[in-house]
Amino acid sequence: MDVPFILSWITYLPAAVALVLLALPRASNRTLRWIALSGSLAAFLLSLHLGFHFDASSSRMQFEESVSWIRFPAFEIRHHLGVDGISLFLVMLTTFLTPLALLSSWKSVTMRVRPFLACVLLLETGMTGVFCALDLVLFYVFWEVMLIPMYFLIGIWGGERRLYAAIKFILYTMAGSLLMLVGILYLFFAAGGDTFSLVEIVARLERGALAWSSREEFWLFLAFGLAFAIKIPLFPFHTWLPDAHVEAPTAGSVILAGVLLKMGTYGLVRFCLPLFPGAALALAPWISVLAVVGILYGALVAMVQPDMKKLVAYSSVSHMGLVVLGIFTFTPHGMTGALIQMVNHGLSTGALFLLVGMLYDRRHTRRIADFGGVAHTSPVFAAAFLVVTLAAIALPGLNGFVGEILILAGSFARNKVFGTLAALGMILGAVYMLRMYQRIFWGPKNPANAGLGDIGTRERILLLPIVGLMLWIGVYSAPFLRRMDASVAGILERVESAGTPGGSYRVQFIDPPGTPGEETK
Amino acid sequence: MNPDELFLLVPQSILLGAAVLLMLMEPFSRQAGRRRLRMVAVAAVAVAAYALRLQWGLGPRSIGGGMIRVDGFSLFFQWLFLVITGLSAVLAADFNQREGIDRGEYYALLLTACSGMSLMAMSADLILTFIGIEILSLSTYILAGFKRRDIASGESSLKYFLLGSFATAILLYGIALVYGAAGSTQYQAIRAAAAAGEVPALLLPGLGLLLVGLGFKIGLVPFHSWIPDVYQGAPSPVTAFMSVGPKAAAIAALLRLLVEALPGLAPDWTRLLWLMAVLTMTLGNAAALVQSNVKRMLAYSAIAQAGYILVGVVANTREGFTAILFYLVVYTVMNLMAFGVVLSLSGPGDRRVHLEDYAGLARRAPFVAAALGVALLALAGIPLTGGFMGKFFLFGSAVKAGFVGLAVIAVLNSVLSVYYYFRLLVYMYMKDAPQGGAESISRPVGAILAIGVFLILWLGVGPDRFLALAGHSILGLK
Repeated sequence: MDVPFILSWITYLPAAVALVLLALPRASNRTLRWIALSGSLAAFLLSLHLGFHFDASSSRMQFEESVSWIRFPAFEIRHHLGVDGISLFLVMLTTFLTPLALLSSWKSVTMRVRPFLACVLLLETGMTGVFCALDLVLFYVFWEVMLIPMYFLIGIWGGERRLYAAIKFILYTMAGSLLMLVGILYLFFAAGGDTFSLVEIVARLERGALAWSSREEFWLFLAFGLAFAIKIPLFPFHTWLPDAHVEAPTAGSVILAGVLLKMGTYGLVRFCLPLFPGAALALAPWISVLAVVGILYGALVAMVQPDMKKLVAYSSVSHMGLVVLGIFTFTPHGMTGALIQMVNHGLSTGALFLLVGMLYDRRHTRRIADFGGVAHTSPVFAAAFLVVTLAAIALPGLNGFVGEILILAGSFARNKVFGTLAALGMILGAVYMLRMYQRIFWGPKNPANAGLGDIGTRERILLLPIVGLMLWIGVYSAPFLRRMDASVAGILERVESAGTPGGSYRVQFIDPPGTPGEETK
Repeated sequence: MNPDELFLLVPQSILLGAAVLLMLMEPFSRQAGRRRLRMVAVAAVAVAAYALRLQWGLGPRSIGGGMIRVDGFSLFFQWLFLVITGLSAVLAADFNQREGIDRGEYYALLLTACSGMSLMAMSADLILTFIGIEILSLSTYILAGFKRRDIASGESSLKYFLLGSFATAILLYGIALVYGAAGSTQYQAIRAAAAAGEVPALLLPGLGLLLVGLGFKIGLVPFHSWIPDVYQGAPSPVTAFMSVGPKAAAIAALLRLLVEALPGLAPDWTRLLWLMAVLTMTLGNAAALVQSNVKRMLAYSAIAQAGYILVGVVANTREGFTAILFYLVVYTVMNLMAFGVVLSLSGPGDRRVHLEDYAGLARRAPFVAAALGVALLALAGIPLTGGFMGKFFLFGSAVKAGFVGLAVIAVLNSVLSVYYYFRLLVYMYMKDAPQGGAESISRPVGAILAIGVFLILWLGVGPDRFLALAGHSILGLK
């Protein structure tokens, strides 16, 4: 069965629902919530179609659609969408997490419900668009537009220091992405000034119709890479993340951690590697160093956090570092592991933020020290938290294990020291996660928690699909990995066309081709 | 001059005729009849716009012994100026009544300013350019001081007049030098003089002084220092007008001068303007960061925006000029929207223009806040707004022309600007109002805001038609 414009439907349905919400002046909050939820669920159901009908044997773009958007005599900007094995599960992750995020805010957001729902839905459109767009300008538009609803989510419905966090978030991400805009413009004119199509430009590079000088490639890689590194966030560009995470409302944190961060790693795989393979190879050892530093630094800082959300935020820095490490191994294992780990991290961190949000809804505090003995009053909640915690620290049989073992396998092949240090980071991860679990759920009972109660039906419904997916990926990951293989092979082939990555990484000083001063004419 | 040529000057005559008519009507109209005066002004603008429509498609031609060029470029700008003038008249209506300055001269001066701006865009002769600038300047000097009893308005007017006179004198000096070098004030003759072998030595200092004069009008750093004070002190509708009209006119004059008269000196003026663009953007944005007065912040933002526009001049290509024209349309819409909100909310005495006065605006007046929000997003250059498309083409033209460094500096400046534009959003959407009084805006201003939102989104999503129009308009520029 072929559904025409299915990607457009998935992308724009939430935005359309958001407009409907804004156009219903008299509807009650309850009605609005149901409309928003059913809109996002509809998008999720549509995205299931992608999963079922995806051809795993092909590395090409699928469900492609392309119509002219802005036309000029010399060139045009096209509305060009498509998914392959790299973006497929990220699209599905987006449509999967958004209804859950909406559901999580059912009771906790009572002020300005209508704009809140609209923001979440617009955010979904932006994120899906980022993962589907194959035209550079279209990609950039989604990439930037998505910031605005997130900015409002943090700034209006956030915590105490929300204004600071919102501004910091927008400034950091803007700084990176605007430099990428110059990169896109340069790329466009270098490629002949007639197309913004990623597929076409990569094809020209492969054919040899277009070639970079090493200096061009180096700076273009940085222009794109910086935008992605800030979003991931790769150490040392991570400082916006703890603030944004902590101040955002639960739904915002879930989406931020679950999907937004993946846009960075996705961008690396989708743009930086195929467009600038030479620079990617040359810089891989350095980026791996940053990734390893991020893994250890994030884990160490997470260990001393008194605030649950902050702890989870720093654990994200650590885990996303692992994803980057996996990508830049340029091995099938590392790359596939990184892709599946992106999904895993979205699930487990998203779930952690949901769980923390549930605690916060009841006690209005996120300090770990304020809890203790919660397992006695809320057994179901404790069980769910345990599963998610174990998934986050990669217990075999749960999803995290699949990704981490693949990434570690890949990185040991490249550099044993990196591999060892990354594994050390994972052990630290187990330490801080289990310690948090222990301090919240066991230990001396805090009398303030006596009336905590267990989680209700809505919250159980919320957690059930996530836990189910964690088990599924953990036990039988083949349906997921199989769909990624062909695309991963395609990317690797493209990278290797610029030279073989060599046996083992050695960090050595790279002579940057050209200095920034020479760029200005 | 034959009757055929006179026909091309009909729009100007309508404007000036209406201005005279308004001044004659003023002493004879009572307070209640003031509305009529405004109607006359708006009607004159509409008729002039229609008369211009008849000229479209005639093809470029020179009249007045080669002094006046009627081509796509001048038509484009004349239309833009008419729109600006008409909107400024409408925006001023309620404000002027509130402040007790609803007099016929106000609208008459708007019309004369408009005709001055039109002359600047049409001029192919330094003398006519000078006359256009003078007509425009004298009108705006008076407009800036139109609130006679207000000390700030008076200060604004006097400051503008003193500094403006200096700038005009320098411009005149430049004209004299160029005349001395080329033996003519006509653009074509100057071009020929520069092209014939060696460039006359006096031409370069002449160019420099002309850039000073026009740079003052555009508000380029280091000739920008009048802008914040004058914009802040002038009545808000006048500020709205000054931030778009004279700026666009001076850019039109600059383009004509550089492209038609001095293409031979392109290496020199691109280098100069490169530096001025960088300074203008950086200083404008840096100073805007620390403003707590919204009018002053928008004044510095207007300086910075002029810097972005200059990027297209530096590129010195067809794409660059097209992008400038496109961006001027976007800039007009977004700036008039922002000032439209400011002047509606400024309250008695034009005093409530601080950031704190915008706290919780989204609750008190959701539509106004949303409209200002869209304008601010556009000014910051967020995609799906015309502001993004404008910057995209401007910076794109710079990259294409090889000025990658300039484009990088420009986008870094955009990051800076995000801070202060978004800070206003913070106040409107994320802070609670001190006291929850509902705001009301007049219906005409509301209509302008609604159309503005629509236009900004249209320019951001489907800019092809406007760009084609802009591209067509610059064909006359050569």
